[in-house]
Amino acid sequence: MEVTQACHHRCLHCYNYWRERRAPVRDPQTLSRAEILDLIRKVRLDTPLRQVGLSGGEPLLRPDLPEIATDLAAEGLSIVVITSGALLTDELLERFPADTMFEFTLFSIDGGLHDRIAGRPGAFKKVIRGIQRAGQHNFRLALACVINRLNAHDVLQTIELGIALKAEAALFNRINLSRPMLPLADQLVPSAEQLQQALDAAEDAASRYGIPVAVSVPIPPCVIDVSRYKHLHFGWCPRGGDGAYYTISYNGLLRPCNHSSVILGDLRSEGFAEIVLRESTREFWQPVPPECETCEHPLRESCRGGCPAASHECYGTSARIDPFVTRCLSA
Amino acid sequence: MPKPKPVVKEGKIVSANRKFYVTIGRSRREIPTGLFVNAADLKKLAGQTVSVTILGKSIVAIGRRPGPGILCYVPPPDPFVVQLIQPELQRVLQQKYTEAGIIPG
Repeated sequence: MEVTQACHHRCLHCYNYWRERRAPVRDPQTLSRAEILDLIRKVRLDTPLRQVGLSGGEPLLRPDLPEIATDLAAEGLSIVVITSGALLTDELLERFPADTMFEFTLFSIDGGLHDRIAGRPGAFKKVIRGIQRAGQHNFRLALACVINRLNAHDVLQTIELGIALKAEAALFNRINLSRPMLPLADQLVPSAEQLQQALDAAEDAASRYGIPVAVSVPIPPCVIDVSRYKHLHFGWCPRGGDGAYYTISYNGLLRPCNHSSVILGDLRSEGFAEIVLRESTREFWQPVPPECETCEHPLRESCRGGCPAASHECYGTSARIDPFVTRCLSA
Repeated sequence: MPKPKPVVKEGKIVSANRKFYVTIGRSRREIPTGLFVNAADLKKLAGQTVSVTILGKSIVAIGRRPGPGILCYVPPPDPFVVQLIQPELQRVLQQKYTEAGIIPG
């Protein structure tokens, strides 16, 4: 759930469709704390929801985030706060429910590079301090990093730093493309060789330290055959099936996932099942790009062309192959 | 609809005929290995008593307390997270990066 579109960072790889807009923390459409609780209860009527990820923008910009998390935890839901970590203070942490997991972003062990990717000077020091505080408060922590051309070389050290800060899991996603960030694609998309080196390093860290490492944004086998990595957990788009990952916007609109700007429906006026069972919703995930029809790789059915949301954002249709594939293979 | 709540039970990892099973009481369930579940990790746990988290009819985690998994973008499909970071390794890395001046002392 994106509780706000506002963000104090300007990440180079940000795929959000509103990345060029300086969104306010609250606008007249922003759901209140009570409306968020009502809306999540409504969703639970239709689906066995177990976890809610509170994201943004930067969710900690909302002053009532700890109370939103407390409301949802009281409903028996697991809460993950997806944050830069830079705004975590002792005062704030004391207000969060004890089982909250904080997923913090760390882009490099090099502070200067982290700041460059985050688009904010001084961010690295604040992130490190914030995460250190969360660890001191005994919250569960996970490291999240987006692999791009600039930081693909120091993945092992970044995971080590995450473990040193008490992260118990790591998420290493390759950069995902969207239309607003296409002008930067040539600077940011790693070559297949760079991506492979990054995955080799993540595999090394996972096997050496026993940290679970997930690589959740799909890496099609025509880019790298991921079956060689025995310690990494690769994700594929659930395409509306088991483990589907819908995203609720700050204003109650339901989208297929956080990578997509497509509006499936309005949860303030419609039921969750009513929206997701619609033919138009199912059609979003159906197409298989023509290039992939002759693919004979065992992962073909999992892959189906990579991230359909990225294709839709960049080309206006999910029937084309993930734009990352062509960019990566030509980088 | 009643809320599904995770239940944590004690189970044992058993290896037989190149397959892995978890036994809870008298019931035995095969743990599918492959791309998302690493046989080498399960091998390390063979013979050990572990926490098994069950939600409805499904085993959702082995060897960890229940709680949120990694959630961002597309969720990883692996329901079996069997590794845990050794505290000693964490301390060594903490010291390394504190000495390097990256983590404030």
